[in-house]
Amino acid sequence: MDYEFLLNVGLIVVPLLLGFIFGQWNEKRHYKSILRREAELRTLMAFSSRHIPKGIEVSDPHLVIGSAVISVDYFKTFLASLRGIFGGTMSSYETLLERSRREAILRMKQSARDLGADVVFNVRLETCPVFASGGQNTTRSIEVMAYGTAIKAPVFRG
Amino acid sequence: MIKYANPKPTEGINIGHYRSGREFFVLGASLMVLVGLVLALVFKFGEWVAPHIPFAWEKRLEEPFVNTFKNDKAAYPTINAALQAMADRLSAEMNLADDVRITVRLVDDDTVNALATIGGNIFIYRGLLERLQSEEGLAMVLAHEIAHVKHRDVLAALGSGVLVSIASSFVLGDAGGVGDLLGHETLLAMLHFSRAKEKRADLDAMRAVVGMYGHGGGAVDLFKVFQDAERDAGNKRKTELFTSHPLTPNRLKDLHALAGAQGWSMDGPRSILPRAFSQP
Repeated sequence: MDYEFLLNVGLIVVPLLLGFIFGQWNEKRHYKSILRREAELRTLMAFSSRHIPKGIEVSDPHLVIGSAVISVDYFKTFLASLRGIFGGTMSSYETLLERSRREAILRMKQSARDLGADVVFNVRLETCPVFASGGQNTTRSIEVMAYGTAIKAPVFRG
Repeated sequence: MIKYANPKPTEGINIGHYRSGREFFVLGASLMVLVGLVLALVFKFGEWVAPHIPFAWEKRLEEPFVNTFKNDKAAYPTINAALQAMADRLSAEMNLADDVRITVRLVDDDTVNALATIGGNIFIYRGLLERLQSEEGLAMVLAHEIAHVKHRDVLAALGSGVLVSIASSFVLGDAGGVGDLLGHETLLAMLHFSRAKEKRADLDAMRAVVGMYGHGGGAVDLFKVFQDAERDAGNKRKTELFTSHPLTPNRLKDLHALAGAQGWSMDGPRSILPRAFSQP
């Protein structure tokens, strides 16, 4: 068989295989870490409501921000481009986005805990795609940012 | 007072439950089947439409295909004239349509091959001519190529080839395939005909040779030349060129079967190639 053909096939198959193996491994590891830290930070509550309930004692409001940039692996990009032909739920990107959101919220909560806050109100999420370079088939990564107002409120102290 | 809480959410609500490996194979296989279907359809369309295209249109496309063989038209005037005369006799024998005209030329190269390209242009390589001992053998190879022209096999192969590479470059987003479409190697690659077409050309050629000489010995001579050349070929490039006329043992067997059915002899008196075929 001719070497150029093998090289061309290899240039597609090898990154796909690496993406598949490391992507799965990374994702599993990340979920494990997310679940563990969520349990740790569960006592520090976060809400999306804009107003702090009336009649409670509040002090030290602070803006807290958590952000995470996570890249999809080559295998999932490839899978997504296949999905782009047929349409349907882009499952390969859903885990990426979910992990990013949860990671961003966790970092925001961590930052609130470091400030000694008890609860975060008015939590908002922003998402933006980050491209490694232009072009159609570049591996995509996304940034998710979570921010809110951290306050000290003894009522919410777990 | 309202009770505020952040309970542990149920896992997996926002992510689809799927196995990425499975999705990959299902989608990948579907895509390949679809692309294959489209290419096959396009290919069939080319095959179907080719015989209905007027020969004059095909003739207009011939220039790049003729030039790719870099033959000096002025060289070998005697041989070319002799080849042309033989092709004209065969054309009459094979009942070519009135507007189809064959042009034969010698290519000054050691390759043992002959081929037909667009516009009824047939090229005989010097390597093949030198190995042919009998006029009947030469008639057989010429008749075979004329049969390809007659059935518009060349146009069909070219048409399908062009359509397929345009379609595949469209699907796969690679324009390179179309770019070097008129390259020498690509043109040769397009001259691979299906086994059925080769067989049809063989049978037509046999009929013509038997009609002219009374026996099918020319076919035996020709296949012996190809077999010998294939055996002798140490050069890779040359064996590749052979593949435009793959030598399957069945080809000669099919011809023997045809001869048996028609009551033709596969042996008979051979005429030595006239001197004109060995002069410049």
